[in-house]
Amino acid sequence: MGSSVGRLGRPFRSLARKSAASLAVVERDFLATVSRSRFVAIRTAVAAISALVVALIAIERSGSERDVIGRAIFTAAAVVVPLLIMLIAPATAAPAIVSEREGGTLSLVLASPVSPLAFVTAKFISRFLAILTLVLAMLPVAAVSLLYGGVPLNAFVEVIVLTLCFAALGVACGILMSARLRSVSQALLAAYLLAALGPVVPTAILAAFDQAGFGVPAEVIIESLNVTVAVPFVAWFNTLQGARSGGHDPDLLYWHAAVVAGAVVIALLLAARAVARESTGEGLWTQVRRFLPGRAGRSSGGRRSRGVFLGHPILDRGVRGSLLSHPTLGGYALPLLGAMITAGILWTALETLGFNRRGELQVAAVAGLGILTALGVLRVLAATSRSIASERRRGSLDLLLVTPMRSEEIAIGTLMGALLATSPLLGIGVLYGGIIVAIGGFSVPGILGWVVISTALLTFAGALGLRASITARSPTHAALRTFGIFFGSIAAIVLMFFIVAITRMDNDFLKFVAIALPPVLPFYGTWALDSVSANSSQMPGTEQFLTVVFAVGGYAISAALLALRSAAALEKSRD
Amino acid sequence: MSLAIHIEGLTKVYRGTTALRDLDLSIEAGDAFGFIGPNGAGKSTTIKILATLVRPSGGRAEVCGIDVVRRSDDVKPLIGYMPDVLGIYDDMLVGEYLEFFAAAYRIRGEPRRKRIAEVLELTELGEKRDAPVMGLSRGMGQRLGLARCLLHDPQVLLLDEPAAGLDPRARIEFKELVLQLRRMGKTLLISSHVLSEIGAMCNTIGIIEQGRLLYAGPIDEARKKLGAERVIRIRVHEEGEDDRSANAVLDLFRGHPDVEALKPGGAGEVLIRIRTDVEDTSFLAREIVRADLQLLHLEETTLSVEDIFLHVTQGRVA
Repeated sequence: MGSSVGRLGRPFRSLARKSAASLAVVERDFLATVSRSRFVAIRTAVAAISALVVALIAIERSGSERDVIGRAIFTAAAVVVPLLIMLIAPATAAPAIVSEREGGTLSLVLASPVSPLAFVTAKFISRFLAILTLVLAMLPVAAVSLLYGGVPLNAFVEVIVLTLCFAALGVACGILMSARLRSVSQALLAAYLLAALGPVVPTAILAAFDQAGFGVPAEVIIESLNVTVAVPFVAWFNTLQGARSGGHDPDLLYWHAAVVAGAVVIALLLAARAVARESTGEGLWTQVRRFLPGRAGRSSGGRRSRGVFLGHPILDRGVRGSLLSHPTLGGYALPLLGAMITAGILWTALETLGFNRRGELQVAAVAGLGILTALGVLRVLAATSRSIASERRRGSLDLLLVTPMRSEEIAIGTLMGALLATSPLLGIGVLYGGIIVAIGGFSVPGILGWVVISTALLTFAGALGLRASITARSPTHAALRTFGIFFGSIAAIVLMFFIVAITRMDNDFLKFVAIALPPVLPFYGTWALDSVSANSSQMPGTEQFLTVVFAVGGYAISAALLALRSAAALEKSRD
Repeated sequence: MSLAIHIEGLTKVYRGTTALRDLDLSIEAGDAFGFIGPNGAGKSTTIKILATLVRPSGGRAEVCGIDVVRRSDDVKPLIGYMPDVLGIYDDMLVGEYLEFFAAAYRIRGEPRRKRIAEVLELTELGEKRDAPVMGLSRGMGQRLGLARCLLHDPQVLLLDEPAAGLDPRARIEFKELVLQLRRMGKTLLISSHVLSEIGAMCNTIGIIEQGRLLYAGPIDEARKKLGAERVIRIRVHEEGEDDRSANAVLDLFRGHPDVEALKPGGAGEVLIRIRTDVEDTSFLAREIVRADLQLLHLEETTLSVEDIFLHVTQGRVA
C-alpha cells in the first residue's frame, strides 16, 4: 500500500523538484534584472519625468477644467505607458537566454534537472515580473487622472490589462529570439522587429489621430486591415476610445488578451524547442536562415564575391553590417507597412467620410514622422554601438588599425555606413509625408524640414553609439549601454504627447529645453517648419522656427565633436 | 645585411604592470626570427608595438629604419600583421574579405584584382574564393590570414602564434608556406609556443621571459653558447646477443684524442661524446668500416629549440 502511494506520489515529487529548480532560475534572474543600475535608472527616470510633466500640466491648467485635464492626462498615459512597455519589454527579455549562452552557463543549467520548457518559462516569468515593476512605477501618473475626475475606473483597469498584454507579448518575443539567436545584439534587434516596431508605428500614429480628435471609426480601420495584423493596435485604439467617450467594445480587449496569451504559449514552446536543440546543432531558425539571401552560414552557391561597392571599405562594411545582415525585414519592412497602412486608413477615411481638416492631418503626419525618427535613432544606435566593439571582439579592429587608414577615417566611415543603412527609413517618411501632402494636410517644406531634423538627430545618435562602442568592454556591454541611453531619452517621449502644452509654456528657457529634446524635436520642428511655410497664425512662428534651427545645429555640431572624440579614443587605445 | 627590425631599450608598462623591460633586438632582412617565451612574457606586446598598434612607454623600435611611433603611417605599408586571432568577418566570402583589406591598403582597380589572385594562388585558396569565410577550417583561416598579410606585399611579416590550434597536416602546410615566404626574401618574426615548428621554420630565435630578452641570435650559436655536448649515436650489426660488435666499437675509440667519453647504448648501439671543437666527425665511420664492422646508423644528436628554451629560461645563459 505504502509503496503504491509512493509510486503515485512520485510524479508530484518530481514536479515539485523541477518547480523548485525553476523557481531558483526565476529568483536569480528577476533579482539580477531589477537590481541592475540601468533598470533602476530607467524606472526612476520614467516615474520622475512623468510625474514632473503631470505636475507642470497641473500648474498650467487648473480650476474649472479639471475633468478635461483628467481625461488629457489619462489619454496621454494610456498612449505613453503601453508604448514604453512595448519598447522596453523586448529589450529586457532579449538578453535572457543568449547571454547565458555567451557566458557558457546555458549548458550548465541544461545539465541540471531544469527542463528547457521550465527554463524558458522561468526566464519569461522573471523578465515579466521585472517589467511589472516598471508598470507599477508608471501607474501613479495615470492614477493622477482619477483624482482630477472625468475618467471611469473601468477605463483605467482596461489600460492596465492592455499594458500587461503588451508586456507579455514583448517579453515572449524577446525570450523567443534570445533562444534562437547567437548574440545579444541580434536578439535585441529581432525581438524589436517581432514585437515592437510593427505594432508601435501604426499604433502610435493612430493614437495621434485619436489625440487630434480625428475620430476614425474602428470599423473603418477593421475594414481597411487584416484583423489579425491589427489586433494590438485595434485593441489599443479601442481602449483609448473607451477612455474618451466610453463608446467602445470591452470584449475586444479581452479577445486581444486571449490572443496574446496564445502567442506567449507558442513563443515559449518554440523557445523551449530551440533550447532543447542546443546540443543537437541546427534549430529551425538556422535552417530557415540558410535559405535567406545574404546570411552567413548559408551556401554560397549563386553568389560571387564582389568588390567594395561604396568606394570606401569602412563605409561598405558599415552598410553591410547594418543592412545586409538583416535582409529579411531589414528593419524597414514593418515601419513601411505601418506607415502605408496608416496612410491607407487616412485615405479611406477621407474618401468614405469626407474629412478635410488640415490641422488634424498635420498632427497625424508629424506623429508618424516622429515615430519613424525614433525608430531610425534606435536603428543607428544599434548599428554604431555594436560596430567597433564587435570589431574588437573578433580581432579585426587591429587588422584595420595596421592598415594605412586613419582613426578618423574608421570612426567617420563607420558612422556614415550606419547612417546610409538607416536612410531607407527617411525614404519611408518622405513617401508617407508625400501621401499626406497629396491629401492636402501637409507641405513639402515640412517634409524636407523633417528630413533635415531627422538627419541631424540620427547623426547625433550614431555618434553617441560610436562613442559607446569604442569605450565598451564588449559588444553586449555596448548594446546594453546604448539601449540604456535610448530608453533614458525615450522617457522624454512623454513630453511629445504634451506638445500643445509645450507650445503654451510661459518660461522660454524651459520651452527651448523641451523642444530640443530628441523625441520632441522632430515633432515640433516638423510642425514649426510646416506652419511657417503654411503661414498659419495658430501654429508656431518664426521664433520657434529659429529655435529649431539652433537645436538642429547643436545636434550636428555635437555629432561632429563626438565623432572626433571617438576617433581620438580609438587612437588612444594604442597607449 | 641591412636591419629589418631594430629595437633599443623598448619598455612597455600597462597600468603599473611592466610587460617589456629595456628590450634590445635586431633582426636582419631576410631572416626568419622565432620569438619564444612563456605566456605573458611580452611577445605579443613586442609584435603589437612593431605593428603600430601599441605605443611603447620607452625606448625605440624601427622597421626597415623607420620609427614605428613617429612615422607609423610610413611603417604600415612595410608590415604584414597576423594576430593570434583570425579576425574574420563572418558575413563575407573569402574574395570579399581580401577585397575589403586590399581597399583598406589603398590598392585599387586592376592591381587589386591581380594581387588578390596572386595571394590566393600562393596560399592555395583559389578554389575557396567564393566560399563563406565563416565556414573555413582553422588551417584555411590561417592561410587566409596570411593571404591578407601579403596583399600589399610587405617586407616584414609579424606572425603572432600562427601555428596555434592547427592540426598536424595544417601545421605542415603552414610551415611549407612560411618556408616559401623565406625563399621570397621576406623577413619574418614568428612567435610560437610550438617550439619544434620554430626550429623548422626559423634560422634565428629570441627567448623572452617576464619582459626581458634572455637570448637573441642564430639557433646554432645558441647551441654553442650553451656549451652543448656533441653526442654521436652509432649502431652496428650484431650477430648474437652478446653485444660483441658494440664492444668492438667501444674498444676502437677508447682513448681516441677527439673522443671525450663513450658508453654502450644497448642492442648494438654506442654513444660517443666527442670534443666540441672537432668539426669533422667522418673519421668515426671510416674507422668502423676499416674494422670490418657493419655500420647501420650514425647520427649526431644536437640540442633542440625546446632544449635551448629550457636551458635559457632557467637562467643558464648570461
